[in-house]
Amino acid sequence: MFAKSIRKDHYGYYFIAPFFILFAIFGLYPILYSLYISFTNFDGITTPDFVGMGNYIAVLQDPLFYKTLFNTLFIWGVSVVPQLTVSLVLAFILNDKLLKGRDIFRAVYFFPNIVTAASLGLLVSLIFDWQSGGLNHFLVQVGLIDNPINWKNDPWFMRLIVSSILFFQYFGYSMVIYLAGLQGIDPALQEAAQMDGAKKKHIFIHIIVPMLRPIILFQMITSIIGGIQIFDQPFTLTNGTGGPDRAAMTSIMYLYNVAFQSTRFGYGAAIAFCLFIIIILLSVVSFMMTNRKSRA
Amino acid sequence: MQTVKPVEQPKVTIQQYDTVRRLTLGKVIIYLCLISLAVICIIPFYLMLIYSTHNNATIASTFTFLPGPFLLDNYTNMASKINIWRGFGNSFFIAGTSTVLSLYIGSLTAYGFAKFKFKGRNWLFLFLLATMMVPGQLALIGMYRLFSTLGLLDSYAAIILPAAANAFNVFFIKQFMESSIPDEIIESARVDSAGEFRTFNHIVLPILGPAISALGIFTFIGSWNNFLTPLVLFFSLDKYPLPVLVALVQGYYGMDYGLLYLGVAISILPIIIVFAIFSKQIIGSVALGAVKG
Amino acid sequence: MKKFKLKYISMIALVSAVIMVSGCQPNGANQSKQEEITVWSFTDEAGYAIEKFEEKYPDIKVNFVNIPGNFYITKLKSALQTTSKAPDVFMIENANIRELIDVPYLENLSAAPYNANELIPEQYDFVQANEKDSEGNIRAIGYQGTPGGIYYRRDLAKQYLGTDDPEKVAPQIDTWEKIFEIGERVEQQSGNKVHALANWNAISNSYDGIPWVKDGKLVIDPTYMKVLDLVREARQRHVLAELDDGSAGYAASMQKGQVMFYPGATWALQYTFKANAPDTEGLWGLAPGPSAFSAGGTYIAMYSKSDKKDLAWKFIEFYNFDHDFLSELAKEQDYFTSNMVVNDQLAGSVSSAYLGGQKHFEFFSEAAKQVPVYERTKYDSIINNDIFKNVLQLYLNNDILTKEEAVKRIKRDVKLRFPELEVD
Repeated sequence: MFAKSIRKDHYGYYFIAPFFILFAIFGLYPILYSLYISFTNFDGITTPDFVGMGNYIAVLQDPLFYKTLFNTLFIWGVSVVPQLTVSLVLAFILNDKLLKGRDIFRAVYFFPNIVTAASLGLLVSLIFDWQSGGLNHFLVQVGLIDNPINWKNDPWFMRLIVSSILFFQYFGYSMVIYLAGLQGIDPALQEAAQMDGAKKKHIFIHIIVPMLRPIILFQMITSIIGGIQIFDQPFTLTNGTGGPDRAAMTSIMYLYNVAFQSTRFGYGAAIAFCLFIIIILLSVVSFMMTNRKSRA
Repeated sequence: MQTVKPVEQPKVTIQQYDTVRRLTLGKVIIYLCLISLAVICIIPFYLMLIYSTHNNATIASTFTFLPGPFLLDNYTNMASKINIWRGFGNSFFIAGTSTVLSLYIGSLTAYGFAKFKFKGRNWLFLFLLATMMVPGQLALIGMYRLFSTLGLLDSYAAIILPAAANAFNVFFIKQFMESSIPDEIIESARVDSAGEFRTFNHIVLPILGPAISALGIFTFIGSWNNFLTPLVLFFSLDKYPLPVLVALVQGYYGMDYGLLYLGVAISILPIIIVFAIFSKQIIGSVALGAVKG
Repeated sequence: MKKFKLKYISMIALVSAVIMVSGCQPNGANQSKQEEITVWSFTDEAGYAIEKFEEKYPDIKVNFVNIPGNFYITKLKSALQTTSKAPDVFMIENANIRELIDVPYLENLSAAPYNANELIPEQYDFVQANEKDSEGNIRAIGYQGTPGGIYYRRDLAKQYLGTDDPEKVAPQIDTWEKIFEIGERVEQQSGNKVHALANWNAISNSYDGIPWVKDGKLVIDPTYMKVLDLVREARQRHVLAELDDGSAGYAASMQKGQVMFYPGATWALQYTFKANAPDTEGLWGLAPGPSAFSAGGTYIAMYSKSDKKDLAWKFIEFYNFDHDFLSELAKEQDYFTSNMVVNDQLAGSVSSAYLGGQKHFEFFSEAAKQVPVYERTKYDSIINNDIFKNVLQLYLNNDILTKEEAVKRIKRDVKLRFPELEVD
């Protein structure tokens, strides 16, 4: 038995070959090109001059880089914790065959994910408009307030709105992933536990969650990767300005400003790779955290 | 199991009766929460569809929940400026091909990483993860240069081929495999001296059903809504996918909200269909009897 | 084993087939004597001109590519740099023109055989200033005329100013103090329902274009400090309706008559007012405000590596200097171009029903001659729209209290964004 399995291990190379070939041709070059640009002062059209680490040093001293990083992490943090926990609970509830209408719930919760982030940002911007937004309209008519509130002028509120949009758009998506994971767990296990008299909560915490650990890790890492790269929602919500004093400007919005509007592609590339390092660090941290749980 | 059941029966029924009673109050609360959440999810969706039946001036000045009379006007306006159905077809072709390719190659790769312990496996996988972590917007410029050199600008391949190497899909399928495909299945296939590839296609792939369906939906949606890459790499009007065409309709000087939301409404339709087809797979029960039997 | 390799090979074959099929483009249907040039734009506005051009020159076919959205410039730059799929002729908008004007990929149109410097005196001075690079050579020619004025609601003017005649309205709004007084009065009398201006942009836009950089050094023009004072005062005296540009409320205000004065350029008539408030025809008029200004503008340039330069020049010359076409464009599309000669000829005859029958070409012709001429650099657009306006909002909301602080903040941000500039 052992001899046979070891002998077949080199087949692994064959299986992963197509991916890496395609990636080497189409994915690697743009990344390496961006890396090269990050050491120059390329403006998109004239021949670039080499500036060495100049861009990176500038990034580390840039207050706006840190501000947008804070915005990004705050917005992401506030949205991801509810997103991953609520969706897990929902997936567990909707996995129950006895629940009525679960097909409909499952579909409806996924709806927000279907529309583009940009159109959702626009819609929310419309609703929260100071003078003629639907929300103010509603509140004034119902009599809760006398004058329309300028929602979009408060920095913290704007951040919360973006977090809410993100939660709204992705909880259904996370739920679907968890559902797929739950489907992979042998239902006999759950039945056996129930026969032994275990309550649903107990089954959930002590059996399901540990078995879903690889999926949970996946969700955490991909949400970090996606979270740092939030762009469409805050961009369309604030019409590209980043909100009051750039409170809702995320890192990638800043990169977009720098690279595509100020045409400092070199500097933008340096920002991109600094973000890359931050993402790696955060991923390593979350990996260690998830692993520690299992050892305990 | 069958011999045990009759003896267990009375105990089980009493337990069930108790749980049914106990859970009624809890169940009501749960249902209430589920329903209110569902309503919140539907509202923006509904609003967008309603807005597509109004014209720009109305949307800008009033707030209404009811449909308006401008659907046909918006549609003819849009159809006169762009070839909606051509864009539709393009989107479908691009999204469909990308999805199928990336799912298959993704599964292959994930299988390779999950079940074979070859040298350098961990480093290669970490490399794959790392490639997902580079912010992608700047890659546009590099991609333009690459495809310009390869002579693939303004071709469908420029969008489809890079999409086939989807690290995200690989990551998820690998995690799914680790969570739900025990090594015994593969070992038993090897004992039957099946070829590796055959094992993959006939035994592993079917088990991946739920994962592939979920990913299929996401990849399709992602590819469908992809706006930037086709905008930068395509030049012929008859290759533009639908989101790019819809953006074309917006004038430079201002936004026509009615047309915008009509574009959103048209784009959503196929996604709902694809979702309806694939989502049954996710909830469908997976028979794992192969292992125990 | 055999089956394994077979499936592998068939997969590779499938992938290569995809490449080949997509790579093969069906050859252009007409390989006839028609010559073709490619024109890129960020709007579809040029469609009309192209139609007329092809009528006049039936041997030339124009391949028009319209690239919407925010990435036009990125795509353009990539194309110009790599030469593949690059256009022969391309449009550049006012915000980008100074950035691209020195780029060598724009053909020098002052040189022979174009000799554009003999032609551009037909255009307004402020447009000419944007067309020349740092050595004084013409690299792009702008066909659009964009002087501004104050669009006012005639019904509100009658109600609060006693007249809606542009000649009589003008002296009542020729300084900001006068507008602010009107604003206070109107806001009180209408019970906070009607305001004089929509937002602070109305004030700052009237001074757009004053340069921020001279000889590589940041220069903060005192006018911009005055703008800071004005916007704060305007808010305190309730002159502003606080409706953001382009927002739903802004559009609604035009429909419902909630704001009296909207500074706007020539194109605003079509794309802002008629688009947002199509049912208010006849309720508007135009009068000059406290400051002559210009907003926006579209310029055409030629690719220096094009192999169809003579044809490209024909198109550029046609769009900018063909008087017959320009008259047609003005009358049929209500489009105000940059050609002074043509506009002066038409001034007496073109009027707008939307503006209550006012002769708007006459108005804009006069306004265009008043627009100050600036020597703008590639930094001005960003500094003004990104940095200054951000500081202005902070100042307006009292997050920055003094002008000294504002100046410090501007200097800091400019230094960060453009390290090559000299900032003291």
